[in-house]
Amino acid sequence: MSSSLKKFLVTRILLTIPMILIMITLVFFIMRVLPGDPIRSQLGPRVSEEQADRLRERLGLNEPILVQYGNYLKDMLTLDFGNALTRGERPIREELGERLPATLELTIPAMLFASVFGVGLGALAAKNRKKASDYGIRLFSIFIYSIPIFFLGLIFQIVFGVRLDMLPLSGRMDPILLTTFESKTNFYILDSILTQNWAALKSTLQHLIMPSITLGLSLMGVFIRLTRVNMIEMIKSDFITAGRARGISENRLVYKHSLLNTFIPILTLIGLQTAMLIAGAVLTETTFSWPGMGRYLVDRIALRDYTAVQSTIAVFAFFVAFISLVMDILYALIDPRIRY
Amino acid sequence: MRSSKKIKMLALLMLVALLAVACSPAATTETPAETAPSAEEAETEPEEMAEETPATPLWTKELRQAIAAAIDREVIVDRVFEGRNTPAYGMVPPSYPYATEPFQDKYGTRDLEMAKQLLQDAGYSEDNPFVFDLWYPPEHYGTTTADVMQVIKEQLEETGMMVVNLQSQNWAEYVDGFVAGEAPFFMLGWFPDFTDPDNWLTPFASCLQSPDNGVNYCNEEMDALLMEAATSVDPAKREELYQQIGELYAEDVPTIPLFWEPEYITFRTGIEGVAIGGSFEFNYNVLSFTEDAAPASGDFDTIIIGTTDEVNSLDADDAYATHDWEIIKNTGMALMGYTPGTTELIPAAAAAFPEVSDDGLTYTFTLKDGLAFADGTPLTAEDYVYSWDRLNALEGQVSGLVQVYVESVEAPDAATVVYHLKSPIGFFSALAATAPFVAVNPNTFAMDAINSYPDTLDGIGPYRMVSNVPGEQLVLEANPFYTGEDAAKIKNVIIKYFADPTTMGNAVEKGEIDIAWRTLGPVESTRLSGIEGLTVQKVDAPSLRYMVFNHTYVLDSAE
Repeated sequence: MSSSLKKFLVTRILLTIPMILIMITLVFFIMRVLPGDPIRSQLGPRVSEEQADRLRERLGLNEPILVQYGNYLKDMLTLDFGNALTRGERPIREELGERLPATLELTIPAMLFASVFGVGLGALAAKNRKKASDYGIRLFSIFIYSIPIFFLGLIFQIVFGVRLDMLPLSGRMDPILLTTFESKTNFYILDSILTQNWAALKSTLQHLIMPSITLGLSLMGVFIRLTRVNMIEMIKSDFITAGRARGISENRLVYKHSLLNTFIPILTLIGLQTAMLIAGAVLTETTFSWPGMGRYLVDRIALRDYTAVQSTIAVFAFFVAFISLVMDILYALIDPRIRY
Repeated sequence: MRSSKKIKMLALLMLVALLAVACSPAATTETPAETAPSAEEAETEPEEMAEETPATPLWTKELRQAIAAAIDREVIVDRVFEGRNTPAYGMVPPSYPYATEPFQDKYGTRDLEMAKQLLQDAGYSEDNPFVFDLWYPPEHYGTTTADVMQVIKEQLEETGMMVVNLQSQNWAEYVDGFVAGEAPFFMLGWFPDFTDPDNWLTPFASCLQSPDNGVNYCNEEMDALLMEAATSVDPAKREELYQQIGELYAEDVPTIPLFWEPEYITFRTGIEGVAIGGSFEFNYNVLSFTEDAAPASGDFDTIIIGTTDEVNSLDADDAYATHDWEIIKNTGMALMGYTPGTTELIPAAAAAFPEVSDDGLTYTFTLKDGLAFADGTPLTAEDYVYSWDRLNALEGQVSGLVQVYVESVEAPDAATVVYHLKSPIGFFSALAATAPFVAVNPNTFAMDAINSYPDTLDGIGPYRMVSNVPGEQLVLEANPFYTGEDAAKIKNVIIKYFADPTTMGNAVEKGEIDIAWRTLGPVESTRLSGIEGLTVQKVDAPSLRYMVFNHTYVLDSAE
């Protein structure tokens, strides 16, 4: 690793810290400025004001807001995250330990699916510019980009789940298999491979197909269009013309030389789409009853569970920051002209 | 160099953000005591109201009666719910003891002429209408709420002397608002803690409790009647008192009952024993498969029940949510219980109905023989004392429900539990059927902390909980130490958690689950009722929607 790259990395990582700090600070105060509180959101008028106050006291909600903020920062620094304020007040680290793997297990395949097929279809469209397949692919990309994700999910459920009975509708694994399944990491794919539980692996993969394709499709449209536009530019460029003159095969020119050179904008897009991916995960997880962080976040926002929301947002922020850092490093590896 | 500049800028930004928020209005944990009506209300008020002294509450008896007379529940139920819901002419569910329909008696289904007359008497006319805000939460009670409010607005405005401004607010904000007394007239739902009329009247009409529900109603006569009815143990006397209370309620209108909202349970052909009555208890142990059933699990020993609820707390000294109580009561047993599908109280962990002392302050329960927790530990009367001490020590969410009534608990011998009450109450047996009267297993539930997510739940009920994967599923199996005659017919129960009612509906249609329970919603239930192989059963849930007057609401004279 060159020293300049090292310097760049250190700077970037250091910059991530204030970014996350600002993020969680904003979330902390916005959540508290919002009307409503965890006690009333959960129990409504079922408890007297006096008892509600006692419950608030127990949760530390009666402390001055700056003291609460201080405690919260302390919790974050020690990566303890504290306890949730609703739904049994469990340690947030425990709750996220269950939810984060579920979300990753859904979003990683979705992203892979979206980028691989998106880039592939985009390249195909660029190669066959203004032919039927190009128009078809473009139409497809607009269609999947504009269709609401929960609607797409429901259609898949009805067609592939209910009518054709090919795939399970919801959850991460067959309920019966899950009763005996031993999960150490909460990554079900990993766990089933580690325990050589092939039935569980098969069930997990089956449960993953519909949600990840739904989420992947919703992201794919942008990949198709971006790849196509950049490839068309690239195919028109001088070095490809030169290559063509030297008799290099068209497929090699398109899929190797042009495509490789369009990877910079595609990588940027992957970085940007990570944020979209998380937004999409919220809807996908609800539609497919996937016990991930998106569903968790929506539920806890409604309950005004301050600590749970703050911690979830912090994890999401870290996740997005991390991906964009990885993308920056990849730029340098892919494009020899980029030096830090 | 560049990066250090960036960091400085970020730090500055953060400081600005911090300051901005720190200077913004106070935290939501504070509940202002004064009422603060909005500016436009005050402006739109008729002149004579504005001239009154600021201490005069907005709601006079005539106005409340006029509104009660102008509302037509039959039309609401027909137009919004296509007849699925049931009009409510009293605050107490019809399936409960001592239920009456006083609003029907006083106002019929609707009395528009009476409403007009009352408004005229109050000094209003078509040129000088009574203008007020009606608040509702658009999402908390389902998407139909807005339609219901629209129909009510139309019905009230049909008098020609009222103008209703509909206002909506999301639930979290709404609760804060009405508890703080900011809404003059608003809509709420009620779900009981126990099957006694007291639980439907005292929270709204007693001087002590009505402020908690934003009603702020206080009438000495009503208070005395409620107290007498609550403390009386003679059924005939209570019957008469609740009749009187009903009449006074319709006359004085602390709140207006609107309708009963049913729930739906959908199950596949071949399942028997689904019975959920007015007590709203779902007993899994009486469920069974017929021979020609096709269990979703493929196994006649396992039934899968879907729900969109989530576990909040499985600690009986803390839990205060319907789904939690369902799990707690299937894995545990309160002192009293219900015949499945009815509101008929029967002894559960107790061998018989309690002995009541003459002053009505002491209830003595004798425990059934041979009861044991699912881990083999025998149940003794000491476990009830332990649970009571623990409830007081931990101050969980449900603690208030018991602490209001109970003074102390003692165990003179291993089979006898004695409850000393703060004041005599006629419904203690019904209260003893609630989840906090399920003795917790001391091996799982330590004295020093709430254990909302125990690994296992080894109670004395027909089932034990063996695993719980949050958001996915909770697994119950038959309690091996259960000796009752009503032991579980199906050995294993899997509760599968859904995030979305439509997905749950699809799952029961496809056969991934055997039963789709709370909350499927009317739209999905109607769709499923047309599908072969599925039975959609309407559950007459004791779930009331009602309108609340904030009786101490005053218009801001400063405006």
